[in-house]
Amino acid sequence: MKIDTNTPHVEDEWTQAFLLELRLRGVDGRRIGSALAEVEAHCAESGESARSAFGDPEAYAVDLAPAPAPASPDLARDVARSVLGLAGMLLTLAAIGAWSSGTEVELTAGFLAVSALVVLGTVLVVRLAEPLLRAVVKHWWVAVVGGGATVALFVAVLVAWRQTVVSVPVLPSLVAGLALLAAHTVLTLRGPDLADPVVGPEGAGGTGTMHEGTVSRGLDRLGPWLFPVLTAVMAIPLLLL
Amino acid sequence: MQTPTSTDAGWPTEWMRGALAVCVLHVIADGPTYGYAIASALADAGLGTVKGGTLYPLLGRLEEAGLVSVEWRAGEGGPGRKFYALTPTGEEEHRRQVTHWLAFADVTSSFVHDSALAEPSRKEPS
Repeated sequence: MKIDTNTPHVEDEWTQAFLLELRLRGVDGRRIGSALAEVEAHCAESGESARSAFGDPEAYAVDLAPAPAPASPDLARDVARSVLGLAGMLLTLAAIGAWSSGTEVELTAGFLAVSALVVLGTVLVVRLAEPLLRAVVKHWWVAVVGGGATVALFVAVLVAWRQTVVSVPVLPSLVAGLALLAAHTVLTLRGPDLADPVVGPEGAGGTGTMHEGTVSRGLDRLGPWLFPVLTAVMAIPLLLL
Repeated sequence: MQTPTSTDAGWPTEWMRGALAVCVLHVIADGPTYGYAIASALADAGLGTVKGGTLYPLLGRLEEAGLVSVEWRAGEGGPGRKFYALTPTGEEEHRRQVTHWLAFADVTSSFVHDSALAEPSRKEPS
């Protein structure tokens, strides 16, 4: 994916590495845009390349932001909201599945164990956000192996411990599931806008401002509705079968 | 990339590191100016090329310390320029640093000058 920050005199690979390192260090979008505009202005006027004037992009980013910012409490809230949405989706789907097959919702030992693992994993991800992001961005296979291993573990636990711990009637499960989904969407809509776009300084004529693609803007807007939409889509085959 | 031990004007980089802040403040004291013009003024003064990677973090620190104020001014079709001007605190700091630097330079200059002219005899500890 090519990133366009309106900095034509700076080498693309330099811009990308610089932007990424500043993002990983938790620098806010305005400061990033301002730093980019400064590099662009210098390169445009001096005719130097960014690498020759500013050196290695990552080392320069470290110079500008020596101490990485800690993960913001917003991140924890954001992840907690997602877990809420995920739980709502799973519960709603389980209720619909049980209703269409005429049984009760059976919470198995495996399901409860996976729920506990999700909570544990969430805490870990929030705690280790910066190194995790860094690893995923630098080595694509970390995401594939990490994601695959997590899914495999969850499936193994679900399959291994199928004994029912508790059965819940369909209607209360459905109500609880839908309530969780609604809570997730309302909290996400009302919550602070976590988008922190890279914006160049005023008066710099748009230099340093990152153009967001339509896909990325669309995904941003879909955010709060993602779990309800996914739930509806996945409920269709359950109702038809 | 290996760090050179002297600038292209021949000054040891360690000296430059010590002198750069007072020199940059001195350039800005002449009136609002922008990064590349500051670098050019320093080069014209015989200090050698100051790389963007050294100059802009220093300017950022001056801004954070409240010694300079900044303003982007649009350029013709280009990215514009970020202008730096001394704040009242910055003016005071500029005067203080210049006085201080001159005193320091006096001490070191007269010291090495005297020693260089003196007879190469060692003083016996008394």
